[in-house]
Amino acid sequence: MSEQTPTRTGLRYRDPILFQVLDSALSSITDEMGALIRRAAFSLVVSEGADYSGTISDRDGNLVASGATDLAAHLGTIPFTVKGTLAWIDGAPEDYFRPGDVVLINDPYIGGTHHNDMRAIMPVYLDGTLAAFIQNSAHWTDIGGHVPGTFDPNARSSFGEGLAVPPVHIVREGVFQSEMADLILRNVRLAEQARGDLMTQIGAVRLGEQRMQELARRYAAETIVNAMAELIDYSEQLLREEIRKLPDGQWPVEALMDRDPGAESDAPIAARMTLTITGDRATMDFSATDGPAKGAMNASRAVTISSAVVHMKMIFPHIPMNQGVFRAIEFVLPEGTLLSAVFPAPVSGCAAGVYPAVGDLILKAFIQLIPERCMAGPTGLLNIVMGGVDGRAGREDEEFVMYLWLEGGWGGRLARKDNAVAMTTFATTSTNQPVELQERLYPVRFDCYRMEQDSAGAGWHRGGPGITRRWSFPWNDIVLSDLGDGERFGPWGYAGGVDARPNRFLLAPGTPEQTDVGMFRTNMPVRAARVLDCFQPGGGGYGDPFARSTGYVLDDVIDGLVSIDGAVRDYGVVISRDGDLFRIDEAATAIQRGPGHVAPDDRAAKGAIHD
Amino acid sequence: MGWRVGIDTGGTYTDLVAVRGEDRRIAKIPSTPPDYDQGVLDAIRAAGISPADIDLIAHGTTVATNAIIVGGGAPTALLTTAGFRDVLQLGRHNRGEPFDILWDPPEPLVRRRHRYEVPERLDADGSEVEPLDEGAVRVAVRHASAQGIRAFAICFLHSYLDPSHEERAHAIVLEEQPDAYVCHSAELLREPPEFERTSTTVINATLMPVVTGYLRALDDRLRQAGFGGRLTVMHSGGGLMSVESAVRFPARLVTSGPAAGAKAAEGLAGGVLPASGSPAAAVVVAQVMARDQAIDQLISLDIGGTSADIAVVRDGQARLVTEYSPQFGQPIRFPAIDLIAIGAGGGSVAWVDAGDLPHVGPRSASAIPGPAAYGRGGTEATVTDANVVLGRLASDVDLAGGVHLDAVAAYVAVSAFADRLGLTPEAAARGIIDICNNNMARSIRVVTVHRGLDPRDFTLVPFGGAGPLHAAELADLLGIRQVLVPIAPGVTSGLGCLYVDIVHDLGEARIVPLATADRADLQGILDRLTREMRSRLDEEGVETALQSIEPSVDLRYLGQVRGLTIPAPASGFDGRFREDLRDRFYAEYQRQFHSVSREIPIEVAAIRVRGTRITERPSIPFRAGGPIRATERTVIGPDGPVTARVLDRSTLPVGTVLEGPLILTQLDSTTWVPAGWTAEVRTSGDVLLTRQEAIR
Repeated sequence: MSEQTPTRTGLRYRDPILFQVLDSALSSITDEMGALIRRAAFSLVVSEGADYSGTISDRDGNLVASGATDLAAHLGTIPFTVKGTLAWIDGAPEDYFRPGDVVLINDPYIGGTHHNDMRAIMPVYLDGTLAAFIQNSAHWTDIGGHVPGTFDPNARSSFGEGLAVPPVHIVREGVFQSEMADLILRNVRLAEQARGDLMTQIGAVRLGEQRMQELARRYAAETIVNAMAELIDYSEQLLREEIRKLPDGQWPVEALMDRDPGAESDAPIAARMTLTITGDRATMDFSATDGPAKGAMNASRAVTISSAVVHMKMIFPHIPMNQGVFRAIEFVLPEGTLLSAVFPAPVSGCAAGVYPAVGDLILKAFIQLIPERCMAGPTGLLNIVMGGVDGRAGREDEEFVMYLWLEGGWGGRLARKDNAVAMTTFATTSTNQPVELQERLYPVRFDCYRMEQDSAGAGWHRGGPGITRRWSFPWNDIVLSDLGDGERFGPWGYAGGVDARPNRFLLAPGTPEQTDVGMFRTNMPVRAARVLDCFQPGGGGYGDPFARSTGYVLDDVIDGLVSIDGAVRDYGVVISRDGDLFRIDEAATAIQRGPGHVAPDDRAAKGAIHD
Repeated sequence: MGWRVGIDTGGTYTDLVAVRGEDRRIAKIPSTPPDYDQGVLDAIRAAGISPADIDLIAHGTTVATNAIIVGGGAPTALLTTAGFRDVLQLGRHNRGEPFDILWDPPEPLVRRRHRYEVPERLDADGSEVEPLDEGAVRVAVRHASAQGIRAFAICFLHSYLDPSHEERAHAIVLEEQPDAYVCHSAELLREPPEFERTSTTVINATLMPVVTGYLRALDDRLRQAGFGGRLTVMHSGGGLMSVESAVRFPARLVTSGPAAGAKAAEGLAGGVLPASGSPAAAVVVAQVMARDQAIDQLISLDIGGTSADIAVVRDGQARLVTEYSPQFGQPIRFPAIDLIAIGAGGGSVAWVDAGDLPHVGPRSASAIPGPAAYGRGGTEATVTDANVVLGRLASDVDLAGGVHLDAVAAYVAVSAFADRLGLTPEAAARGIIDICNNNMARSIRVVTVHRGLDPRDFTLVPFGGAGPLHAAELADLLGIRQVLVPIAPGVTSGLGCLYVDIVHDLGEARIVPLATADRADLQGILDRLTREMRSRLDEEGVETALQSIEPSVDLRYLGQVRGLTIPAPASGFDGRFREDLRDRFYAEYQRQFHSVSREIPIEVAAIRVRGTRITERPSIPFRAGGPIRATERTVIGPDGPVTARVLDRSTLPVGTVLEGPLILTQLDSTTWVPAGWTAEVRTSGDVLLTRQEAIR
C-alpha cells in the first residue's frame, strides 16, 4: 500500500482503497475495545448483557467509528458526551486532556443517557497534536441513590437519580487517581464490582489509544485525521442520497406515553415530530412535543437525537454509523420539552419511555414513505431493579442488586414475513442474562421464560410475540423498583395491522394477594416466595390480519403462538382440533372473514430491497 | 506395514496424502456431493492404493458443517424444563445485524411444536426442587414419534450439577423408541448457561442421524472394498476421534470458522463454508511446521476459491475457543481451533456500491461460472482475474482441475469494473487485490489484535492454490516480516489429517477463592480428570507412553463472569501453587486487558485437562531436480510495473536465495515475491520469504 494523503479535490476520494483500509483499521480498534470490555467486565449487565460501547471521535468530538456490538443508544449520545465535555471544561482541550489522561463522566446533561451509564474518555495525541478521543461506556449495576440499582421512577430531580459525575480525571498522565475512585466507589452499592468495571473501562481506552499510536506508525497523522473526516462525509453523502430518493413533503406524527409519574393527572404525554423532506434535506422538528415531565419521563437532547439517528440507521443499515448521519439531518429541538431536558430535570425514564417514543416517531413518519424498509411498532422497555439480602446458605448477609429487562416482539413488516423477538431498539446489541447465571448469582428462581400466546400484534404479517418471565425470591423478602412505559398503549399496528397487547406486571398473580405492580414502583416490598409475573409486549401487526394466509395461521396455532380462539378472533380463521390433528374449516373461515380483505402489495417492496 | 491415509473432503475437492515407510502418494480429485463417501473411495483409487493395504484412515469431512449451514440436519425434538421451551429460539435475544429491520434470525433447529416441556427442576446448587415427571417424558416421545421424529435432545436447567433427571429421561426415550438417536446435555458439557448448552445438545442431536449415516456408509463401503484398518475422523478441536465417538458427539465435527469470520469481519448473518472439509487440518500442519522450525508465532492462511480460513499458532499450539457458531445464534460449546472463514478467495467478485466505493466479496463466482479467466461464462471481475491482469498468474500456468486461464476475458471483466471507478484496468486490478488483502488483514487482526497479539511478531504461512500469491503483500499490510511457503501448499488439508493427534478435553467446575483454595481438593479433581482422560485414551488405543496430559485452571476476579485459562504444571499443584497461579494470572491479565488489580480477590472457576496422543509426522521428502530456467514477465506490483523472473520451484536446490520481484511456480500453487522480499529454499523444501527493509 503506497502512502498517500486522501484529499477532497478532484475525484471525491482520490484514494478509495486507502479510505477502505483506514475504515477497517479504525473499526478493528473499536471492535477490539468492545471485545475487551465484554470479556473482562464484572457486572452481569455488561459481561452477559453486553450493555457497553467503545468508539473513536475526532478532536472535536465527532463520532468516527464504533464497534459492531456497541449498544445502540450509547452510539447516538457519544458525540454529545465528548462535545459536552469539551464545552464543560475551562480552557484549551490540550490543557485539560494530557497524554495518558482518562476522564470519567456519566452526567446525563453533558451528553449522557442515564446515570448508570459511566463513560471513560482518553485523548489521542499523534505527533504531539491532539487528534482524536477514545471513549467507552458501560452500564454500572448501581450508581448510588435511594434505590438498589438506582432507577427511581419517583425521583423528582437528578438529585434522586444517583451519583452524577461531571468530567473528572480518574487517570492523570498515566497515574491512577485513587482518591477520585474512592469518592465514586464510596457512593455506590457493590463497590468491588464497580471497581472491576472501572478497571476494565480504563484498560479498554488505553488499548484503543495504543492501537491508534500503532496506526500512526504506518500512516501519517494527517492521513488518519483526513480519513476520519472523509468517513464522516461518506456517511452523510450516503444518507443524503437516500433522502433525495424520497418525495418532498411534510409528515406530522405523534407518539403517546402512558403518563407522567410525577403529575397529578393521569393523562398521556406526547412526543411529536414533523418530518420535512426537501431534496436531500431532512428536517425533524420536535417543537410540538409536550413540556417537561415532573417525573422521570424526560430525555436529554442527546438521548432524543440518539434515538432519531439510531432509528435512521435501522431503516438505512448500510450507512456507517458516525457523525455524518447526524449531519445529514436538521434537528429542531428547542428547550422546554420532555425531549430536551436540562439539569436537574429527572431523566431515569429516558431509556424505558422516551427513547422508544422517539423511535416510534421516526418509524411512523418513514413507514409512510418507504414501508419496505420499516416496521410497525416494536416492543419498548421496562427497567426492573431488585435488591436486598441474599439469604442463601453461605450468603446469609450478602447484599445483592439485580437488574432485569425483558425482550419483546418487533413490528410486522411489508417486505418480510412476520418478525422475531428482540430487545428494544434502545439496546439491539445487548444480550439477555441467562437464567442459570442469574440463579447462581442472585437468590432468585425463575418459573418460566417464554413467548406468550396471542401476544403478537395481528396482521397480514404479524409482529413478533411478547415475552413472559415469572420469578420469585424463595429465601428472603426483597424490594423492587421499576420504570417503564406501555401498559396503556401497546406497540402500534400499521396498514390495518393490529396493536399488540400492552405491558403487564403482576405480583402474586391468581392469588387473593394479586397486585398490579405497574410501571412506577419505588422500593416496593416483595415477600419471600411471592411470584412476580412480567409480560413485555410483542410487536404491532402489518396489514389486514383477515388477509393473512390461513396456512400461516394454522402454523402459529400448531406452534402454540396463537390459540384456536385467537385464530378466529384475530384472523377470522376457523380451526378445529382432533387430538394432535389441526384442521382449517375453509367454509367457516370464508364466512368469518367476509369480503374485502386485501393483502398489501409487496411485489414492489421485494424488488426494491433486493440489492 | 500398511498405508496411513489422510483424506480431507471439502466442498469442491477431496485431497489425499498417503504414507507407507518412505512411499508417498498424493491425489486431488473433485468431491462428489451429496455422496461424499464416493469421493473418498475415488481418491484412494486415484492414489493407486488398495483399501486392503491401508492400516489407518484419518478423515476430515464437511458433512456436519454443511448440514447445519444448509439446514440438512434431521428433524429433532427437544425436551426442556417446564417453562423454558423457548430458550432455544430466544437465544441471547441479540441480532446478527443489530440495526437492520429486515434481518431475520435463522429458523431454530427445532420447531416450537416439537419442543416439549417436562415438569422437573433443580436449583442453582443442584438440589432437587421438583422430581422428573416421567409420564410427561413418555407423552412427549410418543407425540414426536407419531410425527416421524427420531432424533431427541434433552436439556434441563442446572443439569450440569446433577444429570440424573436428564439421564432418566434419556433412558425413557429409548424405552419408548429403541431406535431413536438421543443425547442429553450433561453428556456433552457440564457448564452453564442454558442457551449455549441447549444449542450444543440440539445441534448434536440433529447431526446424529446424518453423521451416523455417512460414517456407517463410508465404513461399510471401505470394508467391502477390503479395508481392515481403523477409520478415524478429524474434529474441530484439531484432534482425531473414533467413528464410535463421532456418532455420539457429531457436533464436534462442525468447524469453528464460518460465523466467526462472517460476523467479525463482514457483518454477514449467514455462515461461510470453510475452504477445506476440515480446516483444522491445515492448522495442524502449521503447528507442526512451527514446532519443527522453531517458529514461536505463526498465522496460517488457507485461501480457497470462495473463502479463506485463518488461524493463529503460538508456541506450536493453535488457539482454542470454547464456543463457536456455524451460523448466527447457534453456539456450540466444545473446544475448537479458533478459525475464521471469510468470503475472500480467488472467486470473490469485485463490485461498486451506491456511494461509488469499491468492494470485493463476500459474494463469489464460485466454481460455476467461476472467474472470467476460467472461460466458463463468468463476466464479473474476480480476484483471480485481477491476478491475471497484474501478471501474477499467467495463461501458461495450469490450475488444479485442468483449468487454463483466458487473459483477454480477465482483462475485459476488470475493465468493466474499472470504468465504474474511472480507473485504468491495471489500477483497478491493483485495487481489487488491495481490498481483498485488506479484508483478509482485518480478519487476521480479529484473530490477533482482538486477542491482544501483535501480528508483526508472527510468521505468515500460506496454504491453498492462492495463498502464496497474496501472502507477501498481505504481510506488508500487517507489518509481518516473514512468510513461510510450505512445500506443497495445495494438498495441505489431506496431509494435516495424518499429522493430527488424538485429543480429548475434560473439565470440571470448582468455584473457590484462590487465596483459600485447598491444594488437596484441587489436586483431587485434577487426579480424577486425569484418570478419566487416561481411560479415554486407553479406549482409543493409545499406549500409556504416548499419552500426554496438560492441566489448566480457569481463573477470574471475584465477581467476574469470564476469566482466563491458565496452564498449570503437569506435575500438579505444589505448595506454592496459589502464588504461581496468581502471578501467571496477573501477567496474562495485564497483557490481554491492559489493566490489572491487585486488590480484587481471584477466584478459581474450573479445572481442565487436555489429553493428547502425539502422532508420528510423515513428511513430504524434498528433492530438487532439473535445470533452473528463468523466464521474465512484467508484473504490476504495489508501486507500478516491474520485471519479475519466473522460476519452477521444483528445480531450486536447498539454500538457493533469490531476490524479488519473483514468481515461483509449482503444480499446486504460485508464489509471488515482490520487490523488497527475498526467497530462500530451506532444507525442508519450504520457501522462506523475508522482508529486506523497513516497511514504509
